Amino acid sequence: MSTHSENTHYLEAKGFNNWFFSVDHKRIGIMYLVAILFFFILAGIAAMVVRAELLYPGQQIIDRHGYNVAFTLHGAMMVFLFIVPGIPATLGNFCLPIMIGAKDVAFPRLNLLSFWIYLLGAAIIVFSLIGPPGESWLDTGWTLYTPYSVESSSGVIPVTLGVFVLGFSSILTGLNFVVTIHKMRAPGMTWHRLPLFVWALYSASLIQILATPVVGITLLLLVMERTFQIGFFTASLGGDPILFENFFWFYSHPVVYIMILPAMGVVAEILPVFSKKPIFGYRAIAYSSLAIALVSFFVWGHHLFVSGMSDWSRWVFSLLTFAVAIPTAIKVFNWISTLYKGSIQLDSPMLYACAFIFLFTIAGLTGLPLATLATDVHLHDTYFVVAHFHYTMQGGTVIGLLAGIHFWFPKIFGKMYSEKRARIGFWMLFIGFNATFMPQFVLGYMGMPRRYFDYLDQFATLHFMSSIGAFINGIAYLYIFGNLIHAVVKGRAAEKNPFGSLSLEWTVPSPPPLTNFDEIPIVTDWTYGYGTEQTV
Amino acid sequence: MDKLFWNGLTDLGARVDNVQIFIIALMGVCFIACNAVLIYFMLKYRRKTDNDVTSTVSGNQLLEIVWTVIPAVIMLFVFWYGVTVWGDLRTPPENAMTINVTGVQWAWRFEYPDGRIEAEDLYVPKGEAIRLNMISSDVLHSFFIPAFRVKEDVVPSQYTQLWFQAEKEGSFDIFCTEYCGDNHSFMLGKVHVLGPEAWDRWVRRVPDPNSIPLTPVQRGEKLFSKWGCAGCHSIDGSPNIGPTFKSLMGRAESMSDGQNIIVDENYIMESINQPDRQIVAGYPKGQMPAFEGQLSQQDITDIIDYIKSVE
Amino acid sequence: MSEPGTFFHLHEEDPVEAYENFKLGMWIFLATEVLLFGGLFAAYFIFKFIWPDIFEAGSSHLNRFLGGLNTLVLIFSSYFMAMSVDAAQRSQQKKLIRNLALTLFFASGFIIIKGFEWIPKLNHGITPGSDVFFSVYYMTTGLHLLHVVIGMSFIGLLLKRAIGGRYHSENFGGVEVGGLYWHLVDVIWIFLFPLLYLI
Repeated sequence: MSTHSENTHYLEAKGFNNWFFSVDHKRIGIMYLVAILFFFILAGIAAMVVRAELLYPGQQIIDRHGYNVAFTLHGAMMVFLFIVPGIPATLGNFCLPIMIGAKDVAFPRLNLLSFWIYLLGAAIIVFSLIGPPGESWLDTGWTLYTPYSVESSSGVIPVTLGVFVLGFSSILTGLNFVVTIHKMRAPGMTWHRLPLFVWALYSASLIQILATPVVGITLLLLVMERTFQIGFFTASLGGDPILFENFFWFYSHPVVYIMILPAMGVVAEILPVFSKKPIFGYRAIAYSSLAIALVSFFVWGHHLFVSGMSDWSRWVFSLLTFAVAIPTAIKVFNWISTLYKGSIQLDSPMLYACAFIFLFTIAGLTGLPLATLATDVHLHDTYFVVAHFHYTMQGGTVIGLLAGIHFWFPKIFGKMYSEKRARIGFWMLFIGFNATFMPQFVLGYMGMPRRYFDYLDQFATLHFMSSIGAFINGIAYLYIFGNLIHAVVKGRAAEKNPFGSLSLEWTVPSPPPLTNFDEIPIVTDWTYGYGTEQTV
Repeated sequence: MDKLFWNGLTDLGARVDNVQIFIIALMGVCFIACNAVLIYFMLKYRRKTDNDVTSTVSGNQLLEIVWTVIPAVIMLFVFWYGVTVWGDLRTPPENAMTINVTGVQWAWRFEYPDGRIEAEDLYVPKGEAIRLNMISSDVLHSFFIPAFRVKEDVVPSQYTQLWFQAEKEGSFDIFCTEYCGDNHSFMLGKVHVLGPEAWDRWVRRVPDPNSIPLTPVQRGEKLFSKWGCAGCHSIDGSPNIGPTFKSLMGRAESMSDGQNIIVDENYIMESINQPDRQIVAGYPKGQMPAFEGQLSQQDITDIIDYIKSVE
Repeated sequence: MSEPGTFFHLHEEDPVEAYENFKLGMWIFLATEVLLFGGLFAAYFIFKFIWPDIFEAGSSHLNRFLGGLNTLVLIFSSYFMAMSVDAAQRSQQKKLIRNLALTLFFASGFIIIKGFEWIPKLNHGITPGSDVFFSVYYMTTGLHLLHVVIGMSFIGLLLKRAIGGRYHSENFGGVEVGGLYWHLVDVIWIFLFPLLYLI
């Protein structure tokens, strides 16, 4: 079945129809990438507005309602439109089938459908965030806590419906990946030869499949609550506002691992390539992904340690939360050990990967006082939580995404970016990011509550430092994206395998042909056989 | 807040700080250990030539076990340490003085056992255990005194509590830490810890007769006479221009438009605010003035409490 | 024009592989459905625990006869769905069409009976906002009804394709997967019925 057009590489075809109706996983991945980065920039602008407002005490550029809208925009768009689809829908879509030696995902049409559904959900959310006629901009925070979200005059219903629609997209992608990994592996690609990125995607997909329906039903109930006053979450009607928190976090905590697990997978791919060494503790890393996915379902209660939940539940959830720390620690130790006696090339993907480990140890360790009951009472809902969360999400997922983009860039676009500018961008980001969120740990410990439009004088210096850091952070992104866009347009042609990886995606041309492989490869060894004579 | 740790304001707060310091030390050790190794490897094993000989080691069972078990033991210890201190945070002493706290958008209201009410500022005696019994009258709030290391959400459907025992005089910030709408960041207050004399003076302070602390029923009775309600409404069941207040609450009444209702708080509130909307059959419209906007919600609640007490 | 590899012009797929993928995909999708209803079941148990009296009073308002009848109707429908799968596997064209039609017939019966339950209640002012029990009642049965409707559209599509002669012993994946979905709809009702009407 080698017709003329199927031999050409996937980027060659131009025109709306060839992309928007394409079922090719690579094109869908690229379309996702463009879409999520667009929303990343929008949400980033909202973050800049928030930090500009907090430069000094008192009102700076927007009023208190505007501020509440700004942080809601930032949170809702970052979480639902950027970071949940984040790595799986972009790099996952692009790499997964090639990595396991398949021509496409199991359900190519469903894959495209989930992209369309994503666009639909995104359109609904953007439309309703900025206010459908007659309703004001959403101001509930991305968590949509009842009863405020029931009473708020802003467009809660359309946002909720938008998130519900996005949930479908997320479920379909997860389902597609799980079936693909189960059924589409090339001959010889056994479970224990799978690249760790695939293991991470598999674990994340399981969470997507199992957690998303629960938030779906929760959001439907919230809509019903606002329309029919059904009284699930309203105290005066016999309901329980804390029930919403429980339902919400039953999804939204596991979803944190949908965001971080794929980033961990990216790091596990990069480390062996740039140290020319087999990954250390393959099975420990693979199974700890599954362990994290499993335990993630039983820790949602740590968001409710001061919510009025029963004392008994509080300590059970505290114990379970500590259980998540163990597989996470195992991963970190194995990554670091991979570098031992390697031949380490600190190119930009590797810099990002190492920065991921560095920042993720901070993110993970600052989770300890939040999991500990006695100290969480003080730190809960302060800037300490904000900083911890951003260390996992930006220091973890976004850095992981950037690591992956820099790593697979030559494969995806067949072009090479300027390594020098990539490193400059990396250091700007690294400095800006730490300057933004380091002060916030201290702020939080001093008692600065989150979601505050204004603050008392004792917090002024640290807030100022944080805002300056945030601006550097913002400029760093522009610089990094500028470098990559420049490379897409004008970069020099990339080699087939510039970094010397042994994984399957580097055995096909850059950019890959539309059907990936002329013939399905036969796999005889795992993908991490560096430094030995064995090859895949 | 002058000191970040061990400000000595409450004993329990100092114990929380002990846990915190312990965890910070643990975090520091782990962070430095991991990243020192990471950076050391990054520098020591930098690629020198394209043909560097690398190790082919791909795992070590013993190491895996070691770095699974050791963190697990440490985690268990931290958990246990946290739970023991937290247990005391959750158990107020039996003799604690209870102050009722209501969170409203966007202020705190404190009601003392003697009926005295304070808004935004909480006054407590030094060295005495204070238990706050809290409820919200609208959305979720969260009551937070950073200096004492205590926090608990304030929920509309249920009472929540926290307690502290301040050991030093002074004024400390109160924050709302659960997002509650436009003025969330202005839902602030102060807790003033008073020494024995200052506390005595504060308790006995009687600035003018109108602010003598009264119970809600007493306050309602005063409003009842102040607004001249007795001119039309009897309290002993005798007929008058308006229906009697005797056993009014819960009574079945037929309305002039033919409806039958059971008198409840909402009906009384409506009748105070807009009397002509639903008139009891047999009574003329237009007699009673509408009090909408003239009485506060608190006044109405007090009057309702008073009417409930007339039997 | 669009080249191969677009939504309207798919790569060729191996039919056996496609069938296997389709089946596993549906099983996973059913898992998400179970969790979707799982949230509502959790709400049911929580509120029943908090408000046992409201639940008892609400439950006594429900018509057990109609609820029971609907259970029977749905079981019949599921039976004929299973027969359809069997017929498709044996290439029995006529039997397949008849069984699918009967499945649809009983499914519509379910909707009509549901209408006889809901409409008088709504006329009497018993709405989703009445009390916590009826919130749960309308939410669960409403969401289930939505699934019945989706399932019926699916079966309708199968029927149309069956009449076109698409299914036979070499290609029955569509019928089998449709059957999986329809059985799940049935199973959910079998849990809902005793919880709402009997307990």
